[in-house]
Amino acid sequence: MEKVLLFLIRAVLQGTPLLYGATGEILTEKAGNLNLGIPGIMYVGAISGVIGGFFYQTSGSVNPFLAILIPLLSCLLGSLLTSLLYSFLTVTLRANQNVTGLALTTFGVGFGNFFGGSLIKLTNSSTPYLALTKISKAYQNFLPFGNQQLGGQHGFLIYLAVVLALIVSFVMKRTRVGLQLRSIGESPATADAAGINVTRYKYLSTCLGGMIAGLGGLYYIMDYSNGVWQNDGFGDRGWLAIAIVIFAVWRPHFAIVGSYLFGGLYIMYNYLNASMQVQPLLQMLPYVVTIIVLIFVSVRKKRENLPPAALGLSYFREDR
Amino acid sequence: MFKKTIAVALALIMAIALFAACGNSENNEKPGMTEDLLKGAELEKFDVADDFKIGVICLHDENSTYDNNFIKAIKSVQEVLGLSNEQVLIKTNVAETSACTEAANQLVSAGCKIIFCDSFGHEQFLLEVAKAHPEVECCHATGTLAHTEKLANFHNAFAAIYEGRYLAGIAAGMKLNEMINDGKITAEQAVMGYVGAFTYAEVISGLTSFYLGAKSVCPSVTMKVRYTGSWYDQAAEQEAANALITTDKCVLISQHADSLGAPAACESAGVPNVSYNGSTYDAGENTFIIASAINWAPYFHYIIKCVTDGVAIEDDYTGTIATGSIVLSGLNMNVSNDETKQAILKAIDEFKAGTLHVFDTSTFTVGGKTLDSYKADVDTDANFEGDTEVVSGGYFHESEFRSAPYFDIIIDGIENLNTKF
Repeated sequence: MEKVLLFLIRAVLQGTPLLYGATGEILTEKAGNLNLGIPGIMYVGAISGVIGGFFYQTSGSVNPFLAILIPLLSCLLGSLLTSLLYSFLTVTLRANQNVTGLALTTFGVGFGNFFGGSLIKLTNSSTPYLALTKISKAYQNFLPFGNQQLGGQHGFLIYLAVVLALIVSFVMKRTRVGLQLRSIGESPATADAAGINVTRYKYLSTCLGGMIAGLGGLYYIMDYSNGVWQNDGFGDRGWLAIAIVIFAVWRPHFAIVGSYLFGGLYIMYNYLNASMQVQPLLQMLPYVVTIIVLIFVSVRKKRENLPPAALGLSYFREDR
Repeated sequence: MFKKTIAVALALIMAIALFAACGNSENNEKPGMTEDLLKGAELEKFDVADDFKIGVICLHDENSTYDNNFIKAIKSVQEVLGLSNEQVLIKTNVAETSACTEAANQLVSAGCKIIFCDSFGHEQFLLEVAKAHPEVECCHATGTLAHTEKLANFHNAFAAIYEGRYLAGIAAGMKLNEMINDGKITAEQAVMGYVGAFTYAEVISGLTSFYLGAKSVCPSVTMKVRYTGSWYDQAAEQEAANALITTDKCVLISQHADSLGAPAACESAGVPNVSYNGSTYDAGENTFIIASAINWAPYFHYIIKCVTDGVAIEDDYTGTIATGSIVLSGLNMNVSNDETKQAILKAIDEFKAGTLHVFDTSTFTVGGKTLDSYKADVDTDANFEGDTEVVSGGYFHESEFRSAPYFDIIIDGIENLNTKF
């Protein structure tokens, strides 16, 4: 029983970066922008937080409040600028969204590794890594509860991920803003005719989505990895997040379950003591489930389960 | 035009803001750390011809723990010998594909007298280059083919890192003893956890020597091992370490994989950690004990000297404590103590005197029996069949019949959790 509990806790920790990414991507996609740059933006969010944290930690004494605030703001700024770049290219210049997104991911990973490597050089460390342990402690100990026996580290970012997913879900479903946002994703021309500012909504949703996704990167470094940055350490999580969007049929509250499920399947072999040959099979399961969901959804053709109709298409007002 | 200008300006602002932020770094004060317990060899300077060039091919760049170790080593040799940057050519991010052949050929064209590859998978590609260019010395770390291929210009190298791991194991055993004496755990609860990459002989040789080091001072110790199936997967290593700590009740962790996943998990859970490939003190001020690593500088120094003097390079070179190829970081006194330091220094002296053998068959059993004889898979073949008797004189002769490790036995006291062996 204890083992199950330990597993569930790890599944949540493992799933949290995915949840940030998925929530951000859903918000973006609902306005019709297919942002495949999310994995890159998560990298940029992570390294921006690390840059902020690094200079704060090396500047001397560490105040817990600032230790949280500075990396958080740098992370948000970094992911905002990257999302702005994406929005500018795809919304204003109407560049192809797939290509822009993929390019942005390549850019983000390179950006992270470049500045990660540069910071590592500044430390003159014999082993190539950055350790923002003090900053990380501030993140992990921000909430007064947490249990060493259960593996410790329960920072507020874990709860924030759920709260954000629920807020996005609520706004999308229950508010006028959400309705207008969704209408743009389905048919921007109709929304435009109804007097909704398509460009503004697209910019806002992409930037907010990017910032939420960036927090996933920040969480991964500051909370999950105990403040350790190593190049390529974040791995392919961003793509998992995009798979969850499909798995959750564009609903943030489903993404909560999806993320924890994906996170759990990713580490399950440790708790089953499965042999190394079985490990890739277990880690493959989330993708198999995603494919099944895709097939199921497209066969049933229920309107509310389909992707936004205008997803991935640039909007030309003159194009009738 | 206006939009383009804005796009460029945005990109510039981002870049400048980040560069501007790059100020000065901290000084490396590490409270609690002793001096390095085992330092690398002091290398002597000799004259190298002005037209001498060496090429080094690395799988990743200096941001990988593994490759960084080689790059650091060649740069230190470059400094000692006063070689220019035109004489030391380093190619990074060379995959274990024909990209390796291509990189090696470029280095040959550039006039390199020696080409060195740092990754296991580079071997077959370097071998082709060695055959095509008999005038170029091709040296390969961690490989296994030199002693059977018998090419005059193809050589393997490794180091007796099991000696380093044994020493690090002593630090682990002493920590367990301290925990037992303080009443924190009972003698039976002295269970160590180990995060390994693959079930290769290199990993098994390393984890066994680590275990034997711990056992030499803490007889009741046992060890559980989890493999991640990757040399570098931060999250997988962290999760494996975490599972070892929480579900398997391990009270001390060590690892043989390249990320800081395991040390980070240890610092987070407050569990002592013995590291590898370099100090991870910064990531674990309260849990890092000690780290062992291979120092490749003596090997680079040796091959350059051989080429300069026109002497043949050994087919299989095994760096040892005696050649200065094994290094230990400082000991973290926040976690360890002076007694441990003395125990390690004593063992170092015994290694230097040749009286201590890591795989002494009187110190371990396999399936309840003493290991009297073992045919190890020294010569590479498709079926991984044992071909060479490696137990004699009361110990397992690791890295003597070829440089790369071939100890692949799971001894009593070590339990593999996620592989059927």
